[in-house]
Amino acid sequence: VSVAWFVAGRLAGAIMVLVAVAALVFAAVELLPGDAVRARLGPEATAAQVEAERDRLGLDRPGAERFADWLAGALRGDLGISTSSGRPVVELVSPAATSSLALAAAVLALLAPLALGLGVACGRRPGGRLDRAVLACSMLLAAVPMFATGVLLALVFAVWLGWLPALSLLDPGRPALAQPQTLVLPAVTVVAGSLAYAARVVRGGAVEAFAAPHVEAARLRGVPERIVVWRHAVPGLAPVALQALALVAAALVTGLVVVEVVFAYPGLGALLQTSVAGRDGPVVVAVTVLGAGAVLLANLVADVATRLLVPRLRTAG
Amino acid sequence: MTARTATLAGGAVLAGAVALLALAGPLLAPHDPDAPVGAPFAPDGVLGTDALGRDVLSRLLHGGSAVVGLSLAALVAAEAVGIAIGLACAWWRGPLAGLALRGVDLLLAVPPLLVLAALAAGLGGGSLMLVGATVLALVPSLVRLVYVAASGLVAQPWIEAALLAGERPQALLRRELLPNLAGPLAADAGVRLLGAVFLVSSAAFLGFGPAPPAADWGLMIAENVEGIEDQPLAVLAPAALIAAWAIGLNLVGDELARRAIGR
Repeated sequence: VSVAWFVAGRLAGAIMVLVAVAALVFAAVELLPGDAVRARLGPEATAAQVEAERDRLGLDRPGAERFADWLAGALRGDLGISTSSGRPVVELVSPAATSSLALAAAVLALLAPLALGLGVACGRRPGGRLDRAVLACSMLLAAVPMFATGVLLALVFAVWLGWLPALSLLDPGRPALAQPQTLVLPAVTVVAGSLAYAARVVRGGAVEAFAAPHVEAARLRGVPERIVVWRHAVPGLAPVALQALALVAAALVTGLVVVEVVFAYPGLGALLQTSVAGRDGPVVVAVTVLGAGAVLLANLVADVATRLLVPRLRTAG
Repeated sequence: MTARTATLAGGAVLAGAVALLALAGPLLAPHDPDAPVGAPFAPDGVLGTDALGRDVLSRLLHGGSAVVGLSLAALVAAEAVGIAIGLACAWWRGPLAGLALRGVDLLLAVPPLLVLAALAAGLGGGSLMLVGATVLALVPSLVRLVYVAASGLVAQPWIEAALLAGERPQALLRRELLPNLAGPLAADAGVRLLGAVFLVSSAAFLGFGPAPPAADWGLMIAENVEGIEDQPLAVLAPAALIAAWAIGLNLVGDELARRAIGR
């Protein structure tokens, strides 16, 4: 019962945070005096035209009322109408979200084993040669912004070697996962930018796990090293690995936005960029709230799974 | 120890060179950064021309102000705001401090680039918006850091003794608490500046920052990526400068952080 209450409590908390984030984002996009309508209609529009457009969009109503309307619509799955294309926001967001999810899945499929493997390998001998080499490399990789890494990878692998497409020209008729060649460079770029941090978090946990009394006891009993690593030390790392995932979630969302633009990958990040440029408020609100929701979800999953995986926490009321 | 000192010096030289280039660059530029000097993506001059035929070297020398200047300005503003809010919350506990910390937690839940995108959509781009959004991205975790560190200090008996001896709280905060926080804050400043550099340059690359005719390293990469095959230098040169600035800062910040923890 306690676990169910814990999950329910965390879920309620996350939903409240998400609604508050949505309110903040809505206020930033729709209520700040940036005059998006004027910017969208262009300098030739007369004052009367701007006023008519503001009227049509209902922009003169109080902000709280407009947010309440937006929230009620969002709960029904209606995210409003895109101001630049006139289409429902949901129609624009859902195919982009599917593409972004495919890319995120590719990133996680690469990142999780690499971060875990590197973290464990380094944590087994802290201060050893591998540990120091990985630390130095990871510092360099982590210091280069992802768009720069992406451009460099595109130059080397797409332009000079010609192995992979430089632009992810997805065929819209087929699912993104069926066109893996378009996923490779964007995914590798995000992994290069976030691996260092994720591996460091895992390494911290691994150092502790290998110093644990039960691991030492197993070694003293003469248990083979392979079994000590995989059966005694690594299973205890699951909570740390989950925390690492939660910690890199925000960086992954940011990274996805950037690489989608670098490689013209038609996901939420690319949609966000064009919508900001076009001052398309409803689309920006929807994509931003979805991104924040993804980070909250990753944290929620990590918290709940940690609670379920660690017996001490599971039974502690 | 010498290797450590060499790291610190190397990082400082690297970051210093990029900062100098960004500051003094406009004086050295051979051409007007906004005027075409030849055909698009032609190999004229030292670094060739860009998508509109403008001199890449001149634009490079003019384009560092956002990545170097705006990120430093945002760091200074964020430190001032973050330290003030964090100290105030630790000193005057109570409902207002609780509310402020709640707000901080809320902002921590959203990736900074998304906050920046929302502000850019609402206000339009521009340097002021970029600095504001970067400050907004840096402040929440800084408030947390100052709050936690200062809360430990506020509970110390010598604080109570000083108050009983008639010290004014403001003077106590400024003269006694702040110097004690200097170590952790200095250790954190390098990493925080790196975060600002990432955000500012990514925003410029995405077109959320300086508007197109402006020369800017991040924007240059976005503008010239279509010609990467014929003129890779127009993309590689600004990317290398951003990377050099970030790597230099990272080396300095990491070493300062290590010294502050005393390892």
